[in-house]
Amino acid sequence: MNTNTQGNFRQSMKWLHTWAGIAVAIILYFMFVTGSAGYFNDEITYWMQPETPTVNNGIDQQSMMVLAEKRLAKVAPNATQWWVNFPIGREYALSIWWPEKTKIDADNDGKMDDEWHDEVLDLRTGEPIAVRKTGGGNTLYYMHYALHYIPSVLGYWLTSLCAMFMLIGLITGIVIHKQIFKDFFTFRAGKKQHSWRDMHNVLSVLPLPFHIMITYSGLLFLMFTTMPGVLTASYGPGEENRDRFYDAIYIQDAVHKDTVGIAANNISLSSVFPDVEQRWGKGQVSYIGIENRGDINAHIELGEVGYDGLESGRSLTYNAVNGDLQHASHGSKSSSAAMTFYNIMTMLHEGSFSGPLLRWLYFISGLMGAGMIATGMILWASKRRERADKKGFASNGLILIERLNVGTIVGLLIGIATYFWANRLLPVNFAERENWEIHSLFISWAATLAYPYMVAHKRSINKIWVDQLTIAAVLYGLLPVLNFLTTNVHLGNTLLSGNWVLAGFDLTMLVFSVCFAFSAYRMLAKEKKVMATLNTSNVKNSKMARNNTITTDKQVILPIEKVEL
Amino acid sequence: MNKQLTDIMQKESFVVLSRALAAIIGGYVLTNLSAILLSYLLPSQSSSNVMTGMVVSYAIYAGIVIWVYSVKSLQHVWRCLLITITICAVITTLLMPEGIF
Repeated sequence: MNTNTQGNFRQSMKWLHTWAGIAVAIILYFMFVTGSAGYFNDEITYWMQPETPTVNNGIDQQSMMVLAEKRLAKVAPNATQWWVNFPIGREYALSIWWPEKTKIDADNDGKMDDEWHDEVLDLRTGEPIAVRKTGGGNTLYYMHYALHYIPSVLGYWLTSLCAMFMLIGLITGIVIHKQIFKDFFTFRAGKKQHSWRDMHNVLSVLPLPFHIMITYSGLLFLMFTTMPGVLTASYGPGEENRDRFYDAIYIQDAVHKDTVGIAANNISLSSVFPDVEQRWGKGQVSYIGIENRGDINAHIELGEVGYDGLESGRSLTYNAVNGDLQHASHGSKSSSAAMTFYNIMTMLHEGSFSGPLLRWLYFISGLMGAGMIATGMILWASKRRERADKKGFASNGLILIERLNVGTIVGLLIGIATYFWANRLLPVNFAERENWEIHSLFISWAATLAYPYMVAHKRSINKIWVDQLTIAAVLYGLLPVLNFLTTNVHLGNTLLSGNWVLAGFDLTMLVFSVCFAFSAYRMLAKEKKVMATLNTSNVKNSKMARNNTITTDKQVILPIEKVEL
Repeated sequence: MNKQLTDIMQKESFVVLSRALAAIIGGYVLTNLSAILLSYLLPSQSSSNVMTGMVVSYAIYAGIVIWVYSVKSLQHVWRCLLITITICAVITTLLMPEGIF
């Protein structure tokens, strides 16, 4: 069948690797960056809601429960469900939430739908605290698979397609890398791209198991959307048949009965606490809720904080009419080997089970993924730049990609910094402030993408890198200062009180800032070297000098409309 | 085949696009069909077979894409793809449980 020689196979895999990567690099980079931030979604939200009261360990859960229940009875006397989250684990506030039946929109046939409300409570008084509205870390997390400004289903398809390109990039990368290793002593690349290639290899190979896991499990997450054929071929089309399939694969706890419409008095939520504490010990509840409130089939559900291996902790279900324990679950049951595989992969992807150390490892691995994409993009451009310099002519496509690289790689990070700045600077009662936070992310990213073109006739590409890296360094570096000026949860207080989550956020921003400043400094040194070569030699005759300048004026003035890829 | 058409088919952009379509669209169709076939032919109950078909589908897809790009002749790629898709589609139709649609 395959008449190609080994060399041809390697050539075609190399081609596929390059183009599969470049074609969707921007979205993949976006997915890796926002997804990495998603590993700290709760912590980011905590920072973005500085009004959140600091956790006081002196208050026990049962008294918090009494306060929360009092508040729920006041604001949601008729709600069919009540839920309470305790400030424990990665939850940083005592919060309550409940559904209210409302007509959400006209095209829903006037049907009533649940609209969820939530409040953060003061731990001492149980009174609600006005926390600013924010997209928090969850918006960043959500964007990494649904993107933004487009319908989420379209987002799922696009991110899945990009993940598929990523999978191809990984497989072909492994094929190429093996070959490169074999030919190590005969293969010599140009020096300049050599260092970028080394970096690309390190960022790809070191966390390779992570990359493979994260890509394949990412695809699995959205498989019910992107691979519906298999399901339909056995169960038939339509929502109902789909539900039949879900019922078959997810083993449901029999205790979750539906309402029967017979009213009954329910016991108070705090009354189950003595029994719970006897089983789990004190202060181990992460959430508690009541479903079918006011009905004879009402039940109270509690979840234990922490994880058992990959699985979430234990849960308890009580009858809410007589207080009997109905069900004590320990982990989920899988209906099949494939389901087990699916569960393990998706749990590994989310990493919900991980403690602080492992979570940092996840975050760093994710950033290394972003770095892998970024260095791939730079490598693509630098290879072509070297070739172009030899010819003395750079194509418009190359110039376009070089500019796009800066605006993508540094620009997105500037955008995220702007998101945090907007969180502190937008007035607390600003209309739709949570949306404007995100708008400011995309507006500033768009600006950084446009900037390289706007200054093209006066600044070389190296200088544009320096500009944007400096902006990033300043924005991240001044975030703790801005935090100091606008809130009480600045480093001065958080370090003293040992609030390592909030202090950790500010300190991480400072570390980022130092990294950007260092990169800017290195880039500036490089640019100075280029300029020095330019000045000391005769510009007209020295071919080398011209070649080393990243963009000569002649190339830069070319109108952008002419640029084609 | 007239000359104009032959010219177009030998253009580099056409070749690149055609191969990409073979990999992405052709690969997707064949992936679905083979995953469906797999779910029909496996011995366990249907819900777990469907799960199996779904979780391995992306590996199948990746395999097809790699194959599409490793074969030199584009005509050969399309011929193989279309023949395999047809065969799989016929078997799938024959094996499909009654009253599904």
